[in-house]
Amino acid sequence: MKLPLSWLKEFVTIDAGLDELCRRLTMAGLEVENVAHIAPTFDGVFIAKVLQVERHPNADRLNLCEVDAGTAGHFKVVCGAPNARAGMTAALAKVGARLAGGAHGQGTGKLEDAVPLQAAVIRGVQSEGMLCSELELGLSTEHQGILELPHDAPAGHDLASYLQMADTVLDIAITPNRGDCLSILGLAREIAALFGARWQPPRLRAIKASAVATDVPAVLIVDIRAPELCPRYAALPMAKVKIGPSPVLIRRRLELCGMRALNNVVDATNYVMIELGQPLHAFDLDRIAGGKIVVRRAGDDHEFETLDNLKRTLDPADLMIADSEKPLALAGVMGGLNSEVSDSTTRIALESAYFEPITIARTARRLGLRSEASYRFERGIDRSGQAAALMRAAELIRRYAGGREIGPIIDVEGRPAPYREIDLDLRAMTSILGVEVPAAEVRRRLKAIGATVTPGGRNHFKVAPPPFRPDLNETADLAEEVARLVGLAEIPATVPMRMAVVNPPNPGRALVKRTRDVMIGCGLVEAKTIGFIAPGENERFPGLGANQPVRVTNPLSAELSEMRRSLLPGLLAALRFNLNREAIAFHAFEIGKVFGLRDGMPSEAERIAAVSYGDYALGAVGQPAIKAGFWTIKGIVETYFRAFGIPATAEFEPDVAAAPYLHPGRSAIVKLDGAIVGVLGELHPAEALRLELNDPCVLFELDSQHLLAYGSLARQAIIAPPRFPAIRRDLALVLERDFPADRVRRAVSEITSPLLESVELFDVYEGNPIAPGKKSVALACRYRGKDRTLTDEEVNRAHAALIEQATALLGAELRQ
Amino acid sequence: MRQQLKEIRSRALAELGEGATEAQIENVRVRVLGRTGELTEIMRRMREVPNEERPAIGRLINELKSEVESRIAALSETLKRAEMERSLGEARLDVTLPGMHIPRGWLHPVTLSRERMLDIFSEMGFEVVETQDVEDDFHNFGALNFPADHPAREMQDTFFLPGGLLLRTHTSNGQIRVMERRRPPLAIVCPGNCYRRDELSVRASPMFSQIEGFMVDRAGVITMGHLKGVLSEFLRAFFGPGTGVRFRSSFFPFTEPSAEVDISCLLCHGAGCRVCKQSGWTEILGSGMIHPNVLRAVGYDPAEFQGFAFGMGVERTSLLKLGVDDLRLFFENDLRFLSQFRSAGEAVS
Repeated sequence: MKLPLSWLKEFVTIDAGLDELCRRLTMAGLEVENVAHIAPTFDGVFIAKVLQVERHPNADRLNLCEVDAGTAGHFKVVCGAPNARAGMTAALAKVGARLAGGAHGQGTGKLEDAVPLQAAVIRGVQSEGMLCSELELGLSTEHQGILELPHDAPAGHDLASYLQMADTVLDIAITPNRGDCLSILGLAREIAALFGARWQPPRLRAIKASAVATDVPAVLIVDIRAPELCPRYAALPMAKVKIGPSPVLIRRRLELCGMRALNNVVDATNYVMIELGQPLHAFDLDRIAGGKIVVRRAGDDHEFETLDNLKRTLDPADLMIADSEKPLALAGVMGGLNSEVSDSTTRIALESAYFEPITIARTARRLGLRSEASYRFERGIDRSGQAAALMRAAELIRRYAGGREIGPIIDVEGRPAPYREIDLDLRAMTSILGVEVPAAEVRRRLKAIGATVTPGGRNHFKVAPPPFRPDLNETADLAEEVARLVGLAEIPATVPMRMAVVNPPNPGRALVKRTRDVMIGCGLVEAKTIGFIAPGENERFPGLGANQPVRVTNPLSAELSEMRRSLLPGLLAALRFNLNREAIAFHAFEIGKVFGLRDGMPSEAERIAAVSYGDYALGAVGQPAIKAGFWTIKGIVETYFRAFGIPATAEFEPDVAAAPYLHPGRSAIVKLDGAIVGVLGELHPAEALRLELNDPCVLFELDSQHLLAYGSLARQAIIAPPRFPAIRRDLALVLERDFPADRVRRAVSEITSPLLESVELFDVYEGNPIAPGKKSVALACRYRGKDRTLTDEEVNRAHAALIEQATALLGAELRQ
Repeated sequence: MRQQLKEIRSRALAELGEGATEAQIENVRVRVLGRTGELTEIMRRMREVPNEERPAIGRLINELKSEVESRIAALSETLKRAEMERSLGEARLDVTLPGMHIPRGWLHPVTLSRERMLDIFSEMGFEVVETQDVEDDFHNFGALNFPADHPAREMQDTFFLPGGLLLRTHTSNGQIRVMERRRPPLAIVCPGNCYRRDELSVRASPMFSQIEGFMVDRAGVITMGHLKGVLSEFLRAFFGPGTGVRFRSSFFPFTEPSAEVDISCLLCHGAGCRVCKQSGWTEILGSGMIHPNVLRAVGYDPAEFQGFAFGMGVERTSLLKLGVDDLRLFFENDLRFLSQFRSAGEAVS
């Protein structure tokens, strides 16, 4: 909301300076976001009466005007404007004046660039100044003639101060609960309450009001058929209107408030809306069929053309202003083209109504049509301000458009405003605020915002909030008002006394922390990517479980129209981003959420993923670096598993189909108790090509929720180190080349052998003398006795039995 | 035989003089002490020695043996030391060359900030609870006193999902999710991701993270004064003890009274600068006493319970703390930015 201080001053005067005003407003919830100092666009210009206009003796198109500039004296000026005539009030630029628009409209619009006006002899006649157009004064682009000022403009006064050209405009952020502050008067009221000052509403000439619609000699009838959406509708018919531009002061104020000036009638309605907060609408009365205004739902009307020349599709529930034949306006949102005030309009009907906020919000939102009117109606306007706004608008239209009322204000209240009264419990207020505000001060503060406060028993007040504050409904709301006006700084900051309660542990958070520690210990940098993704990326990276992707109903763009199923595309994009910026290696992980449809409903799950590319561990100078590859990424996954106590049960299996984006020969799925908990491996060469990667890129993605469930299992029992030595016997088995080595180890370790303690794989060999298509898998078997040092003999016996079982079990040969 | 022993001794000792080479020493060892060496030969001939002389000869043999042995040991020791001395001078490393790099990663600055914040709240007795990103209208809006079609909803532009669901626009859903299943006293912080329909830019991101916090107890136990106390403590712990904190009236649908919290500008310390738009203050979080309608929505009687709630953006807070002015840096994952947090701990987190 823009607040020109010149306008504010009409309603309230305070002692404080600008900084203090801004500070108090900001602290009270009306944040001043900007302060604009508006400088005049001219100086040395005075109000002057044109006394006499004579033809220039030496020029057909020029006149010689004699003007009276009051105490400044009489001047003779040469003027070429076609509208110069005796009796008009005009703007006289004296010699030395500066015009931002330039003496002939060639100015820059900035006063500091203007050259002071010089005395000139024009076609042999001395001109002692110049009568100015709006363009020259920098007021608008109008230059058909000279500016005509109202007749009551005092001759000799400085024009810049008369037009209040120097101004300060505050830009105030109005929160959605404070619709009452969307007007100059509302802000004046608020400022008066903050500073303990008095405010003065505009004085209005009363117009007779009639509550009975049919009381009028058939000029206009109002029929409210939807009182639940429009509890009150007031209208005023006016005739003898002459449409033309508004005076400069009106136009200038509208522009300072961010509105465009159109004509004297529409400008008057907008001016009153900004001044009083009541949106008004002007219809061309002669285009209202049957002289009847009907307030109803759209019903069977399906389409309506609004003022902005757009055809709008209606919902049957939309509230419309109609005549006896057709809709005229989308109530509270925008008027219609069919009843618009035009240059030829002479009779108008002014509308001033209260519409229920919800209906306006719904229609405006559905149509994506936001107007200054709907903005105010949505937030709730003064429930009782309709007639006053009509009187104010009528006054402006009388003054600036020649209009005359025909008949009284027709004021129909289909549903009376409910009486609102809050039972204010002062002790409850104290318990909310943490400080006791004396009852007298509470009463004073609430009265300052327009509430009626009456005694309501011990420690209670009965508070009737003013009709322009629909946001005040209970004690908490009044506590806020008091706190706001007293200032939150008055509430002492205290720390709550709590019992020394130890919160329950949060195993999830501890495990995520530990996961991050392991990942950074393995050389990975934490990345953060955004959860929105292109459908193509989701297609390529279906994620674990490959749920159907979640489409965003209202995405920012097609590229961000789905929720990610996998963290990998984001990490790969980050890899490419870095390679494009001088990086030669990138090792990163992310813990984040992925999304998918489960039983048709969007759901979320947590993943941990990593990509690793380029040199992983760097050797010293002259020594080779270890590049990221299958073994480095698998090592990271194993390290992570070991840190969470889950290596023994995890299985890595080749599975070409599970992750089509991985290299079929260098990838694995990770299983835990039969469930797939992750994938790892080298990026498929086709993907690598697409990303223009020269080196292998390896990655993993794991279901961290599933894994963390293991990590939170109770710790296993701690045992003392064995006291007797282990004896090692090696075993090398020759098998088919494709037989997974870990399955060999697992099979052997599961053979029942009472002395066998562990089986570890230490070598896999292919080539001479092993037959082609075969490989040798070498295992180290450790035997240990619980109560004694084993003898070679008994170990040899146990090992021989093991070999026999292993070869039989696996169909393998013993390598000699 | 004595004579023989004397000769063996003098010859051996002569050969085991200073400067004897390793080969010479080995030569002597084999000749004198070896299995077929001179002393073995003499031992074998002990039978020829008269009985009464045998002990004396035996002693002589042993003496000679240990004398030669210790001489050899001493010489070997000297030789080894000499060899070591020599080798120390060779193959010296250029210690200015870089060492081998054992990989070590580091955390994202937003994680560092978030963990620091959560640690402070934990130390103050708050419990950390995480809730979901995919939410329904009730938990994100309705229960938080945002009526349908109310303009307050426009403060947060929402992403909608199929099935009538949405992506939460704030972590305030945590208040509802926790209060629905638990009863006061509660002191909870809920970190998590939030989503709003903003293009990624210097100031906004469609996905970002927040920390929501709330404290609820019997009416009168937790007041607006406590809200001020707790948040002031937190902000001074996070931004430094000299940080100025002010509370300014504002509006949030789910709190009443509501307050924005500002801290003194970290750049100009309150003097006024470009960053704080000359005000000396920077907006840092939103807060207030939980609105009675919110308490009603979770089945609490506002006459029985009351409390405060607050919410803050983690990225925004991190930006302020780090003195960085572009939110996109947090989501680009540019190593040239991230690597600056390689050694980050308390200092920048």
